[in-house]
Order: sequence, then C-alpha cells, then structure tokens
Amino acid sequence: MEQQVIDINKALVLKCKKGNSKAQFEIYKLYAKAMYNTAQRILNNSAEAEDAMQEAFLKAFANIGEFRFESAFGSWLRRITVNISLDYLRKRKVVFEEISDHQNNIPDEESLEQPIPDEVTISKIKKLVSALPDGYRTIITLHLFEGFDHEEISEITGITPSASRSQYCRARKKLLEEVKQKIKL
Amino acid sequence: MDTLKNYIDQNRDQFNDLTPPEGHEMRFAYKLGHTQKKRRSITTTTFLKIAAISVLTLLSSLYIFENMTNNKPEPILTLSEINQDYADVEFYFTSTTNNQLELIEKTLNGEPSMEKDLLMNELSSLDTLQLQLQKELNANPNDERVINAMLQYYQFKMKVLTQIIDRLKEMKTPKNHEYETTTI
Repeated sequence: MEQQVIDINKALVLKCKKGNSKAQFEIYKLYAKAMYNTAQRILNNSAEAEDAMQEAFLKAFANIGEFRFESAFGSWLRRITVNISLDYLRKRKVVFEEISDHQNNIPDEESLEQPIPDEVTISKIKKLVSALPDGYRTIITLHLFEGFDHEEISEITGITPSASRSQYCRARKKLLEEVKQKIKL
Repeated sequence: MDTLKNYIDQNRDQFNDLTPPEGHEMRFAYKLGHTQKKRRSITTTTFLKIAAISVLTLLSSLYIFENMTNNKPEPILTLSEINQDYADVEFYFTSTTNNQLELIEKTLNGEPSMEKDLLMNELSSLDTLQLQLQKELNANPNDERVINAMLQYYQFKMKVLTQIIDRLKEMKTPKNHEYETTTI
C-alpha cells in the first residue's frame, strides 16, 4: 500500500500543483530560510546559496506533479536543494573521493560516543564547519545537519556508503580536533 | 550513538538561524513570474501553431471539395442573391465572423510577430477559399451541393474562430498574480 504522509501544508501544496502562483510564493516564504541554511552549509557562499535555494523552488514547482505526499513536502524540497547545491559545488570541481580499503578505517563506535567538551559552543561548531574543506563540509552537513544516512549520501554524491561513513568520521575527527585546539588557544 | 549528532539535533534551531540575503523574496518573485511568463509564452506559441494547423486542415478539406467541382471564371455571386432565407443566414455568418476576426487581431497584439503573422495569414486564406466557393456558386446557382458547401464553410469558419478566441482569452487572463501586490 502506498504510504501517505500528513503534511501540514498539504492544502498549499495542492494549490501549487494547480499552478497557483500565490500558493507557490507562500510555500517559498515558509521554507526559504530552512532551504537557504541547507544550501549555505554546503556552498559556504551566500550569493550562491540564494541562487541554489531559489533554483530548487523553481524546479520543485516545475516538477510538483511528481510529488505524491509519500514524504513531507519539506523533505522532498530539501533533497532537491541538496542536489542543486551539490551541482554548484561540482562546478567548483569538488570531487567526493572514494577511500581505498587500506584508508577505509572506520572509527569504532567508542570514538563517536566521546562526550562533547563543555567548552564547545554552537557558534564555534558553525565557524569550524564552514572552515572545513568542501568535501568534508558537505559530508558533515548531509549527515549531521540534513539527517541523511550513509546510503542516502551515497545515492546523492555517487560515493559508496562505506566511503561516506569513513569520510564522515574523518571529517568529524578533524572538526573535534579543531574545536579542542581552539579551546586550548 | 553519535554524541556530536545528538548535540546538533538538540540545538537544531540555533544551527538554522541564517536568513537569506535582503531582497531575496523580491528576486524570487521576479524569477517565479519570469518562469511562468515563459511557460505561458511557450503555450501560446504552441497553440498558435495548432490553430494554424486547424485552419490548414479546414482549407485542405474545402480545397478537395472545390477541386471536385467545375471551376469556371464567372462574376461573383453570393448566397444572398439566391434567395432571402440564404441572405439572412449569410448576413449572420459574415457579420459574426468579421467581428471574430477583428477580435482575434486585437487580442494577438503583443504576441510574437512571427506567430501572429502565421495565424493571420492562414486566416486570410479562408477569404480566398470563400471567393472560390462564390465563383462556384455563380457557375452552379441552383446546385444544392455548392450551397451546402458554402453554408458548411461559414459554419466551420465560425467554429474555428470561436475556438481560437476562447483559447486566446484563456491564455491572456493571468491565472493568479495576487502575490505581486503582497508586501514583501
């Protein structure tokens, strides 16, 4: 049986399906901030993030016939925003590299469970995430902030799930090391 | 369990606090309007092509009929000159179709000139065909087949023009632009 998700903005989305431009603009106002944050975390450039985010809305409205309430509209839109942001990144020649087996040392659960030092603040994490190289920043963003699992990241970026897992752990490690260093300073 | 992920999940709102650059809504409204205008324009172009094809189909049908009958160069005769009943019918059709043609021409102002010219040329070809039928009528004034062909021609012409007007009206009416008056 087809799964239907109850979407609080279903009425608006249905109007968008009929090409109602007022409803489309309402949807934009509702989701623009969230989609901008997603695009900005991936692209780290406000002008590009705005362009990518708006392109995602236009693409979503153009293809809204394919949206059948099998997921929340926001999740569907987020996936489009992520894909378009990654296209922008690829134009910068960013490559999500595959990790060979000997490099593919996935950190154990213990390392993931290490407590976050009290000195770590939200603004410090944001600042350090934005300073990470494009590849690391993207994987961290997709997994930590956008909530994609490694299989989904694999579909989106074209790398294998294990490479995604490995890159995430390396990026996470680098991020926490940076945090600790900042704390020491 | 990933402690960093938990930390971010617990503070999600604070990680999503960036706002898009000032004026983004206005820029999006422009892009949205532009995209829809483009889409409407494509629809209009496609429609005009379809309309031209419809007219061509009508012309072809009537041309076949016209070729099946004798074509002698004679002075022009209209249905009105055959009897008063036909005169009333002819008056009704010609005045209606003339008004329709004027309306189409007026509505097409502002459309791409190539598409407009294409349709108007096809429509003016209808007059040539009418002239040929009138000549045929002159040669065979009592031939019911010719009279019926003439009446059918008027009916087809009016039907095609009505359809064209309806579609043009539909496309010229903006679907909904209320957001343009919304304060952003």
